[in-house]
Amino acid sequence: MTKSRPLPFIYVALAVFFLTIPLYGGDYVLEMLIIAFWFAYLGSCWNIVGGYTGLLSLGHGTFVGIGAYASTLLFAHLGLTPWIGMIAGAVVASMAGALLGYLSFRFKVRGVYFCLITMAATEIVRLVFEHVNWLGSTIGIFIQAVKGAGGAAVYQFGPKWPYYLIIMAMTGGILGISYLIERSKLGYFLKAIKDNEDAARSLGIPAIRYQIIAMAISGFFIALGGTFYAQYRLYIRPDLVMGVHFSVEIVMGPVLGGWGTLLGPILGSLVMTPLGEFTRWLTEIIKTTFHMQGLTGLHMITYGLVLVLVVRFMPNGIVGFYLRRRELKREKESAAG
Amino acid sequence: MLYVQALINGVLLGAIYGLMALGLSLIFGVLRIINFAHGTLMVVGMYSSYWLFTVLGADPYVSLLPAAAFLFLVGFVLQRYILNPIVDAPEEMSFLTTLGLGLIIQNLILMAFGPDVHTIDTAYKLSSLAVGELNIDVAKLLAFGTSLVVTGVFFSFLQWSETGRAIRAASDNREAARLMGIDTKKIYCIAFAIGAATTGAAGACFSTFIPTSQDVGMLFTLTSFVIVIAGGVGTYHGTLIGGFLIGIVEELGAVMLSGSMKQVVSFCLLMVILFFRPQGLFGREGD
Amino acid sequence: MNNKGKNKGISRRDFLKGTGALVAGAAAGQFPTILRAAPKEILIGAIEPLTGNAAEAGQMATWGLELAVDHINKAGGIKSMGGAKLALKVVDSESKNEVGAMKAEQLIRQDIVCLVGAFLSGVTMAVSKVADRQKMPFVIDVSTADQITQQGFEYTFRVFPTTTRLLDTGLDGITEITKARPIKKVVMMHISEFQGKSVTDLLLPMIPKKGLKWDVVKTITYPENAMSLASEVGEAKSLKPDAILVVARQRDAIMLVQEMYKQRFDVDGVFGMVSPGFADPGYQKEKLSGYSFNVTPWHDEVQPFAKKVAEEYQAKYKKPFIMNGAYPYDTILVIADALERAKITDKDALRKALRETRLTQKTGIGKVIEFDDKGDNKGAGAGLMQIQQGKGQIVYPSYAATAKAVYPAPPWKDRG
Repeated sequence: MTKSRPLPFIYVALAVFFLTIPLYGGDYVLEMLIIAFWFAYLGSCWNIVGGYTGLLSLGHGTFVGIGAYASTLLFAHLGLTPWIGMIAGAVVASMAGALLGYLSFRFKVRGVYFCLITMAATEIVRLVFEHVNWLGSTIGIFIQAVKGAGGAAVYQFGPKWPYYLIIMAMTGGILGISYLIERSKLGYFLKAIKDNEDAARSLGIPAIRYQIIAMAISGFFIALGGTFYAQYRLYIRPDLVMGVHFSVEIVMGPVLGGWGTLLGPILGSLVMTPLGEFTRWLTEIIKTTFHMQGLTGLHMITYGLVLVLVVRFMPNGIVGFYLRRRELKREKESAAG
Repeated sequence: MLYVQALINGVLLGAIYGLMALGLSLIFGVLRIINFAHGTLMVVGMYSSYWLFTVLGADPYVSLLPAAAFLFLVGFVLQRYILNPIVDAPEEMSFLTTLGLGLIIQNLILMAFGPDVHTIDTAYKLSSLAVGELNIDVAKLLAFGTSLVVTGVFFSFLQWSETGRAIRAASDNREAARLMGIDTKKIYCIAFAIGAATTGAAGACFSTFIPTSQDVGMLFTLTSFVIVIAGGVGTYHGTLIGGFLIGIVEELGAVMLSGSMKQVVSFCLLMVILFFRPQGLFGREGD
Repeated sequence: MNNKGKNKGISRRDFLKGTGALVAGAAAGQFPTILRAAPKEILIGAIEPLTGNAAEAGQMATWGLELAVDHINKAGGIKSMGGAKLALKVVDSESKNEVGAMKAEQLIRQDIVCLVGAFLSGVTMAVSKVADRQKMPFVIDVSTADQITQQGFEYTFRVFPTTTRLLDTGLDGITEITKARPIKKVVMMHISEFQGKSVTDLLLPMIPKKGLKWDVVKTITYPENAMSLASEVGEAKSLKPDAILVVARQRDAIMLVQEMYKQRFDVDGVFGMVSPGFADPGYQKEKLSGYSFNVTPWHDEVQPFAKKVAEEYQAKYKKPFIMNGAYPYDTILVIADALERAKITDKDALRKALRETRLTQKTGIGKVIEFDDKGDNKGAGAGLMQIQQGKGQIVYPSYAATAKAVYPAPPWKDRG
């Protein structure tokens, strides 16, 4: 199959564009892009389980939270730099993911039920964290600010652009890893399991093992995103990095952009965050132009409308939609030719 | 004594929980939709009662029927125009749609009623019966009774009416139902509408003793899911019993552990059931 | 303003700007209007929760800000800048930290001279970080979390009292009014979220430290959006305390007193400890909230200036002035006063002027508004408020009191 030439060039151009934004963007744009790419990163990590393996997890916030809390607690109590602490957090998160996976798949929890298990799990973890005092409870943990040069050693920076570059690098990294998975035997097996678990099993594929591996990998990387957040905001609290509400936010990007695809999660997140800002701005304009008072909440309605409409007209996400169109076009061409 | 009181509270609450979850059980069972807007529909029920109370002075139990009818209409429309078109799409998409719907509805309520918290001042709002050292909240007792009545109506409808049978057929086996000539699309609308109506009725009951505000939707949604799973999807008497179970477990959990941990107990219960008995307490194997 | 290309040389425009600034600086205080056209409008950016669970209070705060801006402008604006008028731009933080931070960035790009906000402690912290990074003066109107001024922020000022200050005054007040009938056993009840926990954590050690002989028998927590507080209240009742200490939001505050009534759970006093819900109008409208106390900042109901403003606010917006309106109002007064002394709209000049604030005319309870080196208001006051006949009355301290405390409260059955 011939690859169309213009595509790779667009990617390079986009990469250059995004990488040079700190030079002319300004802090507001950077702030927005950092959040957008953070969700893009989280969504791509989730995609390994949700998209490639076909397991709709609505509890991935758990692993983000584990990552954030692990590195933060290690820093606060042992002075361990989060650069190392985040690895510890990632390991714990991947073990938690594997455990959850093991319990679920061994007991044959599938589809929607698995979804509910993940929701229950993340709520339990969140509530427990909110209850235990030395984990910060409902107050959360404030990370001691380290100003100046010493900050970099403990994953803290004054300006925004270092954070921006880090999250860009992480996103590029998870993109690369996803690409490798797609091309590897693991990816092949995961896809088989996703398409039809029973059929795959009858072919001798140890489905449970690979599902657990997917959970572990996904959990590991998404936890790194948790540490990033903790170091960017210098404050964590259970409801900010855990729980169903947050977990659902993680999934919105991939589902919108097209889960199971390589770029879908990233595209979806990059659309969502500016979209949110845009609808807010639009609401402001309407409010001031028409002098309307009771319009609070309008942008949330617009947000909801977007969700409903995209699902209705592009049920496989944006990338999925595009890919299908391309496929249909090819079918038409080969039928004609 | 404290535990006996908690038990009583749990039972009273349980009936309303059951009614609330019944709607979800129907929607989930028949349509396989993860209805994230379920709690929001209940909030609509609460606000309907509140509005009718403010404008007409009608007690929520008097206005129960119109409120439920309104929710029936809302549910029907939602299913007909928004959910039916995607009923064959991947399951995951339905959750996004219902999430979006929930957002839209919740914020429409916010725009219409504002962010204030409202209470409905019924005459019996503050009455309670003292039975020795125990305390029975009259408002909750009335809600308990009403929930059981509405649940009874629901059961009879499903059991004995033709539409009810069609709904049960469609939930058992979509394809077979279609082959039997059942207009599945219309059944879906009716099913969702009924689900919404019963949820709205539960909302009316809740509004008599819980302050009405627009941000409580998600919690109700999650609790409903726990109840439906615990009882068993598609087994409606299971859902009712599940409601009692969760109500009791939460209230006992509040006294034994701590108020803020009571939800942990129900979620743990959910996980245990999903691991060891995914069909719920009363469901059939292979559901 | 932005970090322009690091390798660009000094453009001609930059050079001229630099020179102009130099000269202006040299002549500062003398003839600022010669070199820099006096601004006609001075923009202040405000971040408040207009949606989300703090929406009602956020709206009341916004009105307080608007009223103050209106008054200042009607009185002639900033006279040292040629009568420049204040303009206010209020944005919605949606009660979310992320949004607050982003909106702060947005506002800073729009040529504001000062930030105000943000009502909720989480949002306020996030905005403080942004303000500090961008070197934008940020005056906090409402937010009690002590941690905010412990982070070493150099551009943050807080008019509102800290939780510690509030609790300190509150405990003094409670001791005073319970002198004739001292408290022996208490139960602590709080909502399981940030405010509830942080207040409780500060309060409980303070009790013995102040020499109070209270026995805190148990701390009972309940979740946000609880569907029923029956079991929690039942447990409290079984412990037979003299009084209960509460931190609650509006919804659960209402449920709490209703449940106490239904269970015939009588106590000598219900003491809200910096309990946000007790200040909300919905709770005060609830009949059963009568006789409950709250440790809270409050608007001064004795001073004529404050009274006048309160009356105007109430007439215009149909909501009580209380702290939601008073402290935002005072925040604008503080900024306007600082602008007068700064004489130019330069951020660092404003910051310096803010540091030197000594404002006596204000609407909130307390002494002269003066900031310490952490940015906290040394004169910030607190009061012990009791709801009597559906209205909040200050019962302590005596210089701000509008009524005498009723303690112990009459039993539920006599209240109906």
